[in-house]
Amino acid sequence: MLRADPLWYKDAVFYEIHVKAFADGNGDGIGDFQGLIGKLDYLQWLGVDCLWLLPFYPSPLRDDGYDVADFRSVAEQYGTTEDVRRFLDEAHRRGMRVIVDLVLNHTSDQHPWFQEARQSPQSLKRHFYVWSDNDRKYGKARIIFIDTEKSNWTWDSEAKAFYWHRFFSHQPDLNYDNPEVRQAMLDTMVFWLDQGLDGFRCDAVPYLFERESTICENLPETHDYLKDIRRRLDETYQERILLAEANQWPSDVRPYFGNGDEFHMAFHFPLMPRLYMGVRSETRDPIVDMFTHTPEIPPNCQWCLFLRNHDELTLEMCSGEERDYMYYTYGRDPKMRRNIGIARRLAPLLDNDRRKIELLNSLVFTMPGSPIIYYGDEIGMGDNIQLKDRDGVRTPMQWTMDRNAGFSPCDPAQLYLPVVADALYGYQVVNVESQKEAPHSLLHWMKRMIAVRKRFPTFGRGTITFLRPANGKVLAYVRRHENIALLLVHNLAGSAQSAELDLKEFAGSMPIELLGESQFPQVTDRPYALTLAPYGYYWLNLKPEHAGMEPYGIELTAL
Amino acid sequence: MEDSFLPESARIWLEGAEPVDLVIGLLTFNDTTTAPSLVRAMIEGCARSLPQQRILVVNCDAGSQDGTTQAIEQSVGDKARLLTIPHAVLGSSYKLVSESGVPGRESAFRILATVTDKLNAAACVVVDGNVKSVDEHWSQLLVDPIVEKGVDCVLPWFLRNRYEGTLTNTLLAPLTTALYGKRIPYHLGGAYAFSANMIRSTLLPQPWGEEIARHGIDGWVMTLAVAESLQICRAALGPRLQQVKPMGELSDLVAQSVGCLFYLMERYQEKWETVKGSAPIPTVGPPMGMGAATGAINVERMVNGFRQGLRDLLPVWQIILPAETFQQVLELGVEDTDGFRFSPSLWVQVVYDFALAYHERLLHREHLLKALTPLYLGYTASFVSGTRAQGVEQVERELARLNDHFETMKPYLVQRWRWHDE
Repeated sequence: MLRADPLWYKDAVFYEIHVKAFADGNGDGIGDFQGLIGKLDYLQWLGVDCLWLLPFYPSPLRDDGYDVADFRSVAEQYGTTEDVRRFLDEAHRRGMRVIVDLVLNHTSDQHPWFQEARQSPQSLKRHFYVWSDNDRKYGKARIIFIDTEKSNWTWDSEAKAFYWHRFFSHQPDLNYDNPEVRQAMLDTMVFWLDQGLDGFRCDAVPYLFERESTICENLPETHDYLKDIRRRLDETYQERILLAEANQWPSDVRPYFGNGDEFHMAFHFPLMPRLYMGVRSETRDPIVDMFTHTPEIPPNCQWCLFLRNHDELTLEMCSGEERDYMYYTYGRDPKMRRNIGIARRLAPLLDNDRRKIELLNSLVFTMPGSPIIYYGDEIGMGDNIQLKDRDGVRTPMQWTMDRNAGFSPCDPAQLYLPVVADALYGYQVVNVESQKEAPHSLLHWMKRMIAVRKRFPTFGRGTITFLRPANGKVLAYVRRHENIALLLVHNLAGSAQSAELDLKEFAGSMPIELLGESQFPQVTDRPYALTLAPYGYYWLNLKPEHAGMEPYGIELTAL
Repeated sequence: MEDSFLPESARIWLEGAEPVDLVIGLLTFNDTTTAPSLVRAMIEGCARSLPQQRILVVNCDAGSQDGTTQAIEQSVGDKARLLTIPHAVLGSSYKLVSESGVPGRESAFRILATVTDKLNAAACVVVDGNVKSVDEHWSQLLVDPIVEKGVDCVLPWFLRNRYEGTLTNTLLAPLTTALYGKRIPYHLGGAYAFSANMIRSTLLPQPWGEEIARHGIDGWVMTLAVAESLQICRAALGPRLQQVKPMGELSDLVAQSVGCLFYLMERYQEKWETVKGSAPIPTVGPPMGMGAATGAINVERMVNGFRQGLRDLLPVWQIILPAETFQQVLELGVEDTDGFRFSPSLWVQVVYDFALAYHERLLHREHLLKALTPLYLGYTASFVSGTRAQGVEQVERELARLNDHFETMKPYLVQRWRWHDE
């Protein structure tokens, strides 16, 4: 049963899934909706609230599904539209919502629109795309995939013209100046919402329009169109959301929230590398600085926080010096680097150090925003840097120590990608089944943290105030919402640390540790001293002295 | 007879002591304001209604620091013989919750049983030192059934207001009734009386050093009374006024009292699994109804307590409760406080499922028992809000209905309990 709440996404824990990678229901070596339905009980058990599915549309798969060849059907290998509907029903029945990726900016060059458009300048679909007889227009626009693309224009010999693309050359950009395109993409959204979807993660939204003499990103026309989409969504549907993928500085992402009338949510891209920087450099500065530069957002909006996803750990929003530092510390092997980033999973990035994994998860679970867990990171899955592109972080989910990690009963050679089988992260060692059996596994820890987070809307809705203890290795902040104040303290260092916190404002309160419900010494006017284990953290509820002590009225006479 | 647990001084005293007819056991711990008048009332009551009886007052004290034992000595004076025995208090005893506030009650009971037996007394009355409402009638009500009618165990029955004893009325008493077929009030502590026969045949052979001692003596004695083939009755003692002592956490209280019942269900399986229906036990003393006062019950806080359990204990409940019961409990989470209704049948189902999970050791037993607390709060909140606007008679009818549910749903418990054992 879904809990009715128009702001549900503010409290939700998201879980990102690649359909092909999660579970194979028909034994062909590729994950599908049938398999996914079979794993919904696990996801419910874990406690996540919303599933985010990567593109499952028909595609030539030159960009792992982000090159869509048909927006309104399901790739044959994943199932049918009916399967999607059944999956949505089953997820909803278990109290989970589902959003999916929608690639607004471009299509595959195999999309019938493009195939028709390239045939002649008179084609009805010609103006679905952006054409030019030269490759000099919009010269200020940067090239995003600098390691594979030389230009944002590619010559099409059949069309006898250049076409515009901000990503791969096989992904021509749609022409949003064409009202038919705008309507067609709106209709696509309506189609999926009518199937029961709870929203969209909108891919590459800053690039919808092009204007000369601009960098062709974040243009006002783009915002106007996005507001149109939101209006349509709000008029017809309830509790559906739009999540923006805009890999930009927070101040540049801020307009995508509008006045609460554009996107409900947006990823906080620059925070993610700074969490890693903070831990490696043992200083809170990069993290606090990033929040200092994060503007306020409308009350009905929310940031999405993440540690890892299906892409590389992007360093686009890092300075050259920061990038060098990140490459040096987290991606020394060139095979780990993709585009401007590092294509590794969480556990390998953190040397499989359980303490650091917990610490970083604790940060994204407690900072302002809704956390997203990338499939497999809840068990500390590893990656395979030998695979091409970003496939190394998209390997089959590791369910058991059986053949193909329990992902598929097929011949191992049939798998869409090999399972991780190395000595440290191999499926024989790292899998759901074994971690479910072990009460102190990372999986159980994640489940507990999700459960604790759900108890306090403060995490999703509260304000944040950073404390600034003299010890810079300690990151401490207070989250407040209504009458609840939570104190979150993190030791970013690999050695034990102590810190004295100025909690005068909370003098008299009794800190209760949220994971074990143990009571800490009372807060006074004096500096509050805490010691933390290496990479240790505390989640403390600063309960007013008499809060929660209100009696039931039956305690003394119950017997 | 094993008596090594007795203090040396008590053993020596007993060796030279003359036989007595009645032992009045007084359990104290810092009860200087209540115990002296209490003991006086008991002695005077005996003098009036049992003039021929030779009485020994035994004060088992848990180490009072407020001069309780001296005050009792003064109060007893030469009106009766007095033996003061400081009883042992094990570390684990401090965790036990009791309205009397006397730690180590199980040690004190064992001492009293041993003294009674050694002195060939016909009966032993045990009274908590913090009770203020003891009057001279108590001696007669507690002792007469044993001396005159051959009863083995007299259980206390106090006049209570409608929402006093919520755990007793909604779980402990109806479950005991359904299990053992005897409708007892299940009022824990205050006062009991035991015959020499019960002491010799039932109390003394108990495994005093084993796990059961960690569940508190009161539920233990209560279950012994109904599970063993003993003659029992209840004594209507009027209201129970007492010096209130700290009771600890509600979850500790639930775990201890319910744990005692569940623990003894394993021991007495053969006794209860064949019992069908129930019958009242005889009463001595004037008939009593239920008081009308409601007290300051905070229904909203209890519903919130239930909801917090729903948030925090869901994975635990999912292990304990079968899918259908779990689903019904889940659905309660969406009710607002005013519309919150936890049905009696669901409550009984929950209690039986917890008993089964306890038996099957699905979880650490203390965690399991404590996890029942929010559900108890939920059912109690529903019970109170559903009857608050009604008269006392309606409350009594609802409780009778609940008893019926416990009895009619018992076959489910028996079947699944046996199924596990097979």
